[in-house]
Amino acid sequence: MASSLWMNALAPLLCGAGVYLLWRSWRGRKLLGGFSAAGGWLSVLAGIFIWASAAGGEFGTSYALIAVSLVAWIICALGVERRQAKPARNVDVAVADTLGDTSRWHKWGTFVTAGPIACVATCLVTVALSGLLPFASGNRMAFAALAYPLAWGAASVWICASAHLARNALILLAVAAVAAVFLFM
Amino acid sequence: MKLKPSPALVKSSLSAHSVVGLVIGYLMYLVCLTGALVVYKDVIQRWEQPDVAEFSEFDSTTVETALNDYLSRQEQSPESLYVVLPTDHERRMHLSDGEAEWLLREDGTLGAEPREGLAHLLVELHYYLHLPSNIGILLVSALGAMLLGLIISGLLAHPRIFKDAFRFRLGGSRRLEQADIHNRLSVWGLPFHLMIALTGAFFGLAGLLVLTAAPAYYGGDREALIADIYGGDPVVEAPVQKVDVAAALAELQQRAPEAEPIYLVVQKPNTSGQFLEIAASLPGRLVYSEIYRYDADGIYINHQGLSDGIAGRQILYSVYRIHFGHFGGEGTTFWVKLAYLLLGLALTVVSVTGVNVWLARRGGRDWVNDFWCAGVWGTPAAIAMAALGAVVGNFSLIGFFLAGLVACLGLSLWLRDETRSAMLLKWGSAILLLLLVAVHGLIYPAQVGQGPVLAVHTVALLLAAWFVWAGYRQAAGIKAAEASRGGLAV
Repeated sequence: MASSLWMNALAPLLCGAGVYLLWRSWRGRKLLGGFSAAGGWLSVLAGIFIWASAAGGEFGTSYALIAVSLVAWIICALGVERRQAKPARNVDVAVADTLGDTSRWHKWGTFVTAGPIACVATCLVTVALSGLLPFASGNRMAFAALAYPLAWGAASVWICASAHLARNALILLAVAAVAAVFLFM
Repeated sequence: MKLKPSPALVKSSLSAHSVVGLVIGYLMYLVCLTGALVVYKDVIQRWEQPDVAEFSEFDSTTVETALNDYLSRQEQSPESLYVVLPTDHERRMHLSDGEAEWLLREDGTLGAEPREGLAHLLVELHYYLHLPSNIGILLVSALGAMLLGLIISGLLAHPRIFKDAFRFRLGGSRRLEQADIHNRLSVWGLPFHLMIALTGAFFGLAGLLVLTAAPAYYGGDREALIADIYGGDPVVEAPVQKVDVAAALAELQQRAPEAEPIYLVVQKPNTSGQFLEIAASLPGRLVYSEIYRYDADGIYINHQGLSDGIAGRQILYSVYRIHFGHFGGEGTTFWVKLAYLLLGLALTVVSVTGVNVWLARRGGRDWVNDFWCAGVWGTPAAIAMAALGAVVGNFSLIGFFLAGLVACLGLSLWLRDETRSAMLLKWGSAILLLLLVAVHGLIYPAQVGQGPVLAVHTVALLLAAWFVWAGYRQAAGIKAAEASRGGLAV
């Protein structure tokens, strides 16, 4: 019980020290003979490990990740550089094109491809690929449930990042068709 | 070898990041803001209906009284009858048949129905954007998937991610300031943002997966697919009799003394197939609960394997607690919730500053600035207005919310000056929050000093003070800008 208390106290300190060392390293104020970054990451990992040992793997890891985020924000806030604000221009000034220089059709095409088409295509592909995994069937479906949003998000970014909208839409449709044939034929 | 993205990749990722962020901008902000507040849904519910009996202890007699009271009032038995048990954190007991819900008195008899107030509005907006549930949940989950896309593109668009990880500049150019806030909050909040996006997307997109996978792998049997993941229901065939809740609770106490019952369900009540499920949370586990099944005599049948079944089942059944921050050991639950509130609000700020960066970069201003200002600063005012409507009378929550939002939009479009609009909307929010506290205090004077009411009033007053201060700072900025323009003219 007492050792658990000590570990619960030590873990956040290690996470905080780790973030501090990373700050030293990345802001060019190195400690530990230039090993600040490595020391920082090791300290954070040690914090996660100790917290997981004290509070259980699930809670401990969650606590440590939360702590790292909060400590880093505090360090950022403490090191804020304040500058003289430039006055805002609050009079109407014509904006050349609010949503970029592509045609309206291209914008709608991007929306439909990155939205509904990517949604359906990645769903079919994820379900098809998950069926090939060497897991129990329930685990395969659970994997698909978590991989699908990631695949859709990535596909949307790919569509929006590329200038070849028609080509990419066709690739998505073709991949969806192959996955559908695999699943339903 | 340096793992640095090429300038072309950075440029295209930044472009994709902007496009996706702009398309979902306001909806993402709304879902993040309401999500941060929903972490405290139980406290808000206790605040909006403070005259309800609260207790953390119960026994089997209380549960049996509740079940009997309900069944004596109904001609037809429902498919399932839920009794939510009181705990140290949730000190109210409910009974629900899936259609209607009642709060229970300490003796187990049915009391008042829960009021649909602020908590209900926040939940409806966060889960469904207040749309029909099947469309709304899909849309909100799509936002989760897009947030994942934003995280990927944001990382690729940020070649100096480590070098700038702690660089935080306020003032100076508006674009740089907003970009620093956006990047610092998003880079260090990355684990939380990834988790929120993934788990949030799961809630609605799982339905699409079931529709696709069931015909492909389960012969079209969706229930078989769900049973494969979450475990199936037991088949019971026994003469109809009253469910022996006491025996079941006693057996559970022996079987899993560390388990804390949080709700129980009588499945198929008053039929030969009836059985009892007791859901209990387990210490140190993120799974929402383990579910222990008993027949009407209180004899153990099995448990669902949510805490010790296949890995996929355990992971998916942990999604709710991870997403809403409803976990923590003794003494840490409070801090986890507070951290989730802060992390959720940070994600809200990330949504806002992302669009602010784009607005600052494009230069000039037009109606988009006014819309955005009204959306960002009008939403808290509209939420406060809806809450006030719900406290004063049984007004339509969404009606009040939308009316408030439209009024803010009208003001912003009329003024055509987002700085002035933001100032007025902040002061408006402060006034509405003060009114909310005053009116609530007048209606429930006896509860003003009590736990949840005191907590909500204190937070509302602090928030009102912040809105006043933020509006005042904006007013000072406007004066300074006018003075400098006057000076230049001279």
